Amino acid sequence: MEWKALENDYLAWMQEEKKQVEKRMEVLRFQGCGDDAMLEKIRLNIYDAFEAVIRAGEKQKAGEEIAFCLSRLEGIPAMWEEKLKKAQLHENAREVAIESVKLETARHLREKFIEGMEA
Amino acid sequence: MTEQQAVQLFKCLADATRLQIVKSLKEKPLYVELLAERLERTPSTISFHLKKLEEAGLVESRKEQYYAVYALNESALNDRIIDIICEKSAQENDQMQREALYRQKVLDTFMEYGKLKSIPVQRKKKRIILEKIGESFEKGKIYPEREVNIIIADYHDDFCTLRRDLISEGIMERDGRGYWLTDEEQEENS
Repeated sequence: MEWKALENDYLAWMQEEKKQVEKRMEVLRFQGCGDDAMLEKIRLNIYDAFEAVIRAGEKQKAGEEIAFCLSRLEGIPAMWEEKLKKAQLHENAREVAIESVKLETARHLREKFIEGMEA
Repeated sequence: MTEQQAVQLFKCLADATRLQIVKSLKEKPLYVELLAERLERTPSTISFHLKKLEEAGLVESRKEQYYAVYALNESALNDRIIDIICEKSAQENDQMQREALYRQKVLDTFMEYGKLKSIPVQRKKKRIILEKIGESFEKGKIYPEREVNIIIADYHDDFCTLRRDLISEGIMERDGRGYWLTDEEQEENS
């Protein structure tokens, strides 16, 4: 798929996903699941971070947008992998939960981007 | 249970997911993956909640082959909430101790062999002395002024000033019948 079409489709899909995450967060808060709502908020932050990557892709030279976004979508989570390993080593359950949510969200967003690229 | 432990306990249970975990473990010990499936959360999220429960002393874990099994520590939940709330806090005990020491210091400074050496000027110290004098009166009894004067004179010659101060500080009350200890003082003396 060409960059412009990929960008538009991807961002539209992202907005829908974010609404669902926000709704889930509100429901969890309402149910009294404060910590679970906090993890959904972290998930939402990852969506925002990846949205910023896609918008930064727009500013790249023509033809280099997709490669730029892909390298960022793969490079950013590498730091979180390291943090997760350290947290597991030190049995820091809170950090394991946080880094796991970040990596799970990153994987989901990256897979969707690749799916769009190959369409 | 200390106040700090009580706060940690209440904070820990003030979460619906953790409450669900506690309810599940009340039925039987479970491992993380099964709890995750039951409560529709990821294992890492359940582990996060279990860690908090463990820190509050509500759950215990043991290794079974490759898995960590969690069980409820029921003894941690045996205290009644009203008992936890009514327990004197460490800070409250420290404060009471400090107040008792201060009171004794004032009495030692201003009294000698049961007699008042001088009437304190500072209101807080005077109040302590007046409360001490108040202990010489029986609760529920109405005293004629003459008898009040005799009792106070045992402490100090200036019974007029002290009698007036006992009224103004609310330790005693008076009317046409005589003088008596206020309800507050009766409670403290009982």
